[in-house]
Amino acid sequence: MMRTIIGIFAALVLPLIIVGFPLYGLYKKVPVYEVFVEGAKEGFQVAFRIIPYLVAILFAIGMFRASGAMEFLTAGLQPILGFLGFPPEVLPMAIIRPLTGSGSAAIVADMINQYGEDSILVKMAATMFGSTETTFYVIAVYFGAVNVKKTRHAVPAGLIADVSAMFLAVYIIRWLFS
Amino acid sequence: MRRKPSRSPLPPSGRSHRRETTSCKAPWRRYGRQPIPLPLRRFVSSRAITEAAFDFADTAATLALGLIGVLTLFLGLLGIAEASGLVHALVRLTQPVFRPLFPEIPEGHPAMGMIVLNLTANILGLGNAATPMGIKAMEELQELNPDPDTATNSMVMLLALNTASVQLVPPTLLIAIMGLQVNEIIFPIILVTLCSAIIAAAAATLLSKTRKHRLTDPHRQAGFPDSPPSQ
Repeated sequence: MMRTIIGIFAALVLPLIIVGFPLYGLYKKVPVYEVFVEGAKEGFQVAFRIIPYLVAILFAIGMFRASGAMEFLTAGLQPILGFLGFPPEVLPMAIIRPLTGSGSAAIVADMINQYGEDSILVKMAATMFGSTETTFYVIAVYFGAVNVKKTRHAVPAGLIADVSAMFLAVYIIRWLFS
Repeated sequence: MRRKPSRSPLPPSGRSHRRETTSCKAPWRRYGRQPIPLPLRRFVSSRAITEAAFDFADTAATLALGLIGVLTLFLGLLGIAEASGLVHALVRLTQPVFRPLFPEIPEGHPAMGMIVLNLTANILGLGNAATPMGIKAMEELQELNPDPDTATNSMVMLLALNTASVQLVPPTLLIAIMGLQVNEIIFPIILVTLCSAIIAAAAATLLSKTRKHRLTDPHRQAGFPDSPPSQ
């Protein structure tokens, strides 16, 4: 039953975006070609803008793993994380995600290299990436824009949402794909 | 994998004016015919670390360049969605859901409209459009705020819903990295974000009711008519 729903979404959502958005634009009499090109120009800049972040995070993750610190951490946290059913391999994603979006993209890319595209770990990490935000950045930008200094319960509320999304990603992916 | 010195991307460093460093070889090779007989096996991980650093720096740049195509495609498509007013079309559906979460905002105040636009743009994955709308929404909320230094409950709710928004369209970067594989996780992402958005709204509401945060509520401190004075 769940497989069918996933299948339907998989078959429909991306085509809906790729075909539906331009068709809706045509229907709304938007100059589709010009607008597409205008928006698409940014793709190049985005790719270049993320290089420093990718280098920083990939290189940090690479060293972390090569030095054996990763094994040390996963072994050390295994009792707790195992009890919660949280695979230690996706821990880097859970830590990096609230801090940087490009960095978490780097982690997904690294995990695809490491575990293969079809791996359930990659699906978990990617779902985490898609489901949460760079919480600290959002809070900084929004409160910074209006000069609010006392943020009260904004950070706890955001982190509660993040942490629960991380666990939900793990449980829901495991439920759907294994 | 060992890197050949000739391929080293390092720029000429400040040391290059020194006469003995004209060679690019490793430093310990220069001081004698024989390398110092260090037990190399002891340094396995330190060498692995260095190699990993170089390899990954390389991978990162290649990876970023490989993403250009799909990033460009999706940013173009999102540009069309933005220009065609898809956000405004969805507002009618989302407004009734978000309205009860912001009881502090008076009926008909422009803040609510901006909030709904911001959250709806987030749902569609239109990050570029969502941020300016969110900032505008914060400015509107600030006008309602009796104490400009302190966040109101509505601001915290807006932030919480922004960090845990329902996502119909996955982030562009994720689509670019995963390619068509992203298909399989669209449904899980919608499911997770649906739950986490509810949790975020609940967390923001419940935390605002705790003693500590009730006392710092700017609306309450300004003596809102419906709230009893708290000590």
